[in-house]
Amino acid sequence: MGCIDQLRAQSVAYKAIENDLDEFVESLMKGYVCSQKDSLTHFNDVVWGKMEFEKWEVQIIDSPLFQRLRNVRQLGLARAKFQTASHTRFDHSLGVAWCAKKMLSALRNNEKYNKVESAAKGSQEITLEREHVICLAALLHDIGHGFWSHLSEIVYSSFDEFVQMQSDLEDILNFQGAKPHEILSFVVINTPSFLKFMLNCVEYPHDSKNEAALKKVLEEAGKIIIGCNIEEGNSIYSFMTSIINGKFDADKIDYIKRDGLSSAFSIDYAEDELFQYMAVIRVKDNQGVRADYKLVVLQKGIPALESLTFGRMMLYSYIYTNPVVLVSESLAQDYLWGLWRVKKIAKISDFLKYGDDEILDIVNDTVLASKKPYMKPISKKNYDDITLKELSDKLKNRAYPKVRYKIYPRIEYKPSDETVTKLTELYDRLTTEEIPLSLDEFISEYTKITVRFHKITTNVTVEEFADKRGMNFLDERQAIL
Amino acid sequence: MISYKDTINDYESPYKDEKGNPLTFKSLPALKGTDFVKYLLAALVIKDKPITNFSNISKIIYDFKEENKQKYPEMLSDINFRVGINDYCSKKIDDGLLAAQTLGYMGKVNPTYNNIVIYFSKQEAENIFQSLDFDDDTKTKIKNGMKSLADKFN
Repeated sequence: MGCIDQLRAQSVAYKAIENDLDEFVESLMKGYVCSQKDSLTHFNDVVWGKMEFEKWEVQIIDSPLFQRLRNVRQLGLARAKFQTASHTRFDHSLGVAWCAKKMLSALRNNEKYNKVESAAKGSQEITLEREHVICLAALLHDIGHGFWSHLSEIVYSSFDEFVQMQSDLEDILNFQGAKPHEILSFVVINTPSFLKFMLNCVEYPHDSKNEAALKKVLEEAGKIIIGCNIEEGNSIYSFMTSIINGKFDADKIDYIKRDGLSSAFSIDYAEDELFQYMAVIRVKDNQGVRADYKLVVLQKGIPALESLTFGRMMLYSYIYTNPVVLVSESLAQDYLWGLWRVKKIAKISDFLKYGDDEILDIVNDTVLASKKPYMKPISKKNYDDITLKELSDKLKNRAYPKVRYKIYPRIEYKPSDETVTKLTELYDRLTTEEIPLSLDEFISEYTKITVRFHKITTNVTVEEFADKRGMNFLDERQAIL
Repeated sequence: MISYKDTINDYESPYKDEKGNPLTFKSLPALKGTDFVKYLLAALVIKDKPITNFSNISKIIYDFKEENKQKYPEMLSDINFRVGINDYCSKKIDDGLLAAQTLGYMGKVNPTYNNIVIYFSKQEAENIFQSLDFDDDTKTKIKNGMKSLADKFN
C-alpha cells in the first residue's frame, strides 16, 4: 500500500481535505486542452535570463492550475512598502525548476573536478528518471500556495482540520515539519483529478500512460516538496529532497535573488561557484548496510554558501520583517478572519480559489460589505465601527494603522531619579520658549544621557518583531485606525 | 490558548461525514516550532549557560524528543526532523535560529561558529516563559521541559 492510500485509509482529515481540493482541481482543469508544441519553449526571466522547458513541463505550466500562480504574489503584501516587489509564485516556480536543472547538470559533472573519493561518489544515482521527478517537484513545489502567499497560510494552518491532517501526515510519513503550503502542494498533486490530468494531458517522459507508475512519481514529487526522504530498499536518496527542500536548495537560491532584486536590495552571491562545488556523495551507516546519497557542498564552496546564508538573513531583517509590511499583514490577517467569520472563506480550497486582488474585491457584495469583523479576543485592535468593506479599502489604499512603539527598559536598568529629572528638565527647556535651547544642544545632551538607555533597550524593542506575521504583532502597541 | 473558534458561538467544521454531520477534530495546543528556539535560549539563560555550544543542536533536540515526546507533547509536537545516516535536519530549528539572530536574541562568538552567546538576562528569560499563551500548568510543563533540554547542552 502506497503512502497516499495509507493516508486515505487512516486519516479522516486528509480524506476530507483531499476531497475538497480534488473538487477544486477538477473544476479548474475542466476543458483544458494541452499544448502539442514539440520544440523546447523559452521563458525570459529577470534572474536567470533565458530558460528552456521541455514539452511535458510546458503542458503543466500551461494548465489553469499552474497559471493560477500568476495571481499570487511571491511577497504577499510586501508590495505596500516595496512597490516593485510584485513578482509572482509563477515566476518563482519557473525559476526554481530552472535552477534545479542547473544544479543537476552541475552535480553530474562535478566529481571529476572536485576529487571526490571514488568510494564516496554518488552522481551515478542521478538517473534520468530521478531527474525528472526532481524537476516535477520543483515546478509544483508552490502549487498549494493561496492568495497573499505565506500570509493566508497563517489563517488556514490554524484550522483544526489542517492541524489534524498535518499531524497524521507527519506520523504516517515520519518526516520533518513542512510548511502549510507545502502540505497543500502535496495534497493537490496527489488528488485523483491531478493524476487524471497527468495521464490525459501530460506526456511525462517515463510511463506516461501507466497509472500506477505515474502515481508513484507524483507521490515521490510530493514527498520531495514536504521534505521527506525518498527511500528504496537500503538506500536513502536524500539529495533528491535536498535539491528542492534542503538547507541550500533551488528554492532558496531563486527566492533570495528574486526577492532581493525586486525590492531594490540586490543580494549578490556566486551561485555558479556554489554549483561548482556541490556534489552527491554516498555515506554508509556503521554496519555498512544502509547508504545515504547526500547533497553536500565541498569546502571550497563554503564562501558562496555563507553569502547565501547572509543574504537570507538580510532579507529577513530588511524585507520580511519591515514594520510597514508587518503592519499591513496584521491588518490583512484581521480582514481574513473577518471573512472567515462571515463564512466566505471556510474550506481550505477557498484559499486557493481567489487571487491576491480578488480577495479584496470579495466584499463588494452588498451583504458582506456591511459586516463588521469583530475579532476580539484574537485581535486586540478596535474594530467596533469598521466594516469589512472599509477594512478592504484600507488595505487597497494603504491606509494602515499608525504604529507607536512602546519601549520597555530592561528590568535591571532603572533610570535614576537624577537622570529622569535631567531629561524632564531638558525636554521642558526645549518646549518652553522662555528658556531657549537649540535642538542641536538638546540632542547632544539627550544623547549623552540616554545612550546607555537606548543601547540596552534595542533588543527589547526588536523583540516585538518576534511575532512577525503573528497574530500578536500589535498587542504591545497602540494601533489607531 | 485562545482559539479562532472562540470568536463565534456556533462553530462547526465545514467538512462533513457521509451522513452530513460536521466532522470534529482535536486541535493540539502546540508550541510553534519557530518559537521553540526562543524558549530554549531562555531556558539556557536560566540554567546559567549564556554561552553554549550549539554545534550539535539538531541531534541533541532529536534525541531529547525521542526520549520525551510522550512527556512533553505540547513542547515537542511541532518540532520534526528529516533523518538520514548520521544526519538530522530540522527546518523549524534553522528558522528559529535565523530569527533569533535577526532579532538580536543571540550571536555567534567565535570564528568557528560553534558557540553562541545569548543576550538577555535571567529576569527577561523568566518573562519570556511568562508570555507563553497557555494555562499555568502547561506553562510550567513547557518550562520544565525546556530546562531539562537545556541540561543537555554544554
